[in-house]
Amino acid sequence: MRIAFNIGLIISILYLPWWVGALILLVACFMIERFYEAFLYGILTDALYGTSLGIHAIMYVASLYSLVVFCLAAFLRDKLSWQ
Amino acid sequence: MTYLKRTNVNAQRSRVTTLFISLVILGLFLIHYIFPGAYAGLFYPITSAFWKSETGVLGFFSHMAKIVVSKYSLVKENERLIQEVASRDASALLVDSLKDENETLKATLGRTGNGNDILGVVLSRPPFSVYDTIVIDVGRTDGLQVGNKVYVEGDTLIGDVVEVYDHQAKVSLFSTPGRQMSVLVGKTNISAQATGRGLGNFVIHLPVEVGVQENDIILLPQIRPHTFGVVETVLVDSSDSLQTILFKSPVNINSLRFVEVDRNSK
Repeated sequence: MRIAFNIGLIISILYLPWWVGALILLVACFMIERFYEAFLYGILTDALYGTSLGIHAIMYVASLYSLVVFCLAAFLRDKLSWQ
Repeated sequence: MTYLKRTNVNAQRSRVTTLFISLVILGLFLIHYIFPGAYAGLFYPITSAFWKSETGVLGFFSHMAKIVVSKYSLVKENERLIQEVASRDASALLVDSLKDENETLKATLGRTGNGNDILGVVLSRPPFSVYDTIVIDVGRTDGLQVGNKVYVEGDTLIGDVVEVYDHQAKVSLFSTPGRQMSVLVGKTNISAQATGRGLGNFVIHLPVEVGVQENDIILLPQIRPHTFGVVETVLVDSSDSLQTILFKSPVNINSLRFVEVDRNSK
């Protein structure tokens, strides 16, 4: 499943609207334990599309998003049951 | 009986792994922070190949879909387009003559609005990018520089080049959320501050007394003839001394395929 999420994220970064990638990343962080790759995709997205102008002057939005989602998933994952 | 607590080797190993991975990720981020163009320069040659193939694949499926459309609707569409072209021909001739006259007058005064344009293929556009940026397939080897203005269909100004690589360049659209631009509004060229809202949309706040109407043209203060935006909606609240003007670029950012970069502009 980890590989499937990785492939999905690469495709979404290159070909799909940004919110699809954001959604896949969110699901991946909750479904897979310690999905460290999230940070790499955040950095990659910022590198490919980001500028020094950012969005509303906030730079590194994708990296920040992956950090928040990863931490949130790490905190909530053990407390959630998928059954 | 007293037992010594066992050291949990697995937990310790896991902690070391986590620490190591965190340091690697932090290192990668620091490289991106200190050298913002490093990863883009590395990845663009690879991603460009994928983006170019995507354009081909999508184009193929788009054409296939059109073939499936019924012949009757295609005939009707054809008739409508022929009429539209005929009605626009006359006004296009007038616009051409006015452009020539405008350029002659500028040349008489020792200025020129002509640019040194180069055509670029759009490799990536919103909504792929959350940042309202586009990536084009021309770069440093084609003479592009940071700050060059980017046009669509010759005279619609949409953004400027912010990062240049050997064979690619990153263009920031003026409509990037939060980006502020000085613009001239309407026939009387009222100066105002426009704020980007993403995907070619902007907002301006002006006093209610300033007469702005729908379909008024928005320009940037520069010599090259261009269109920047067209007023879509004017919102007036009786309890507010300011009116909100919503305007958008006349081109659809989501369907951009080609752009022109003016290598003389800065």
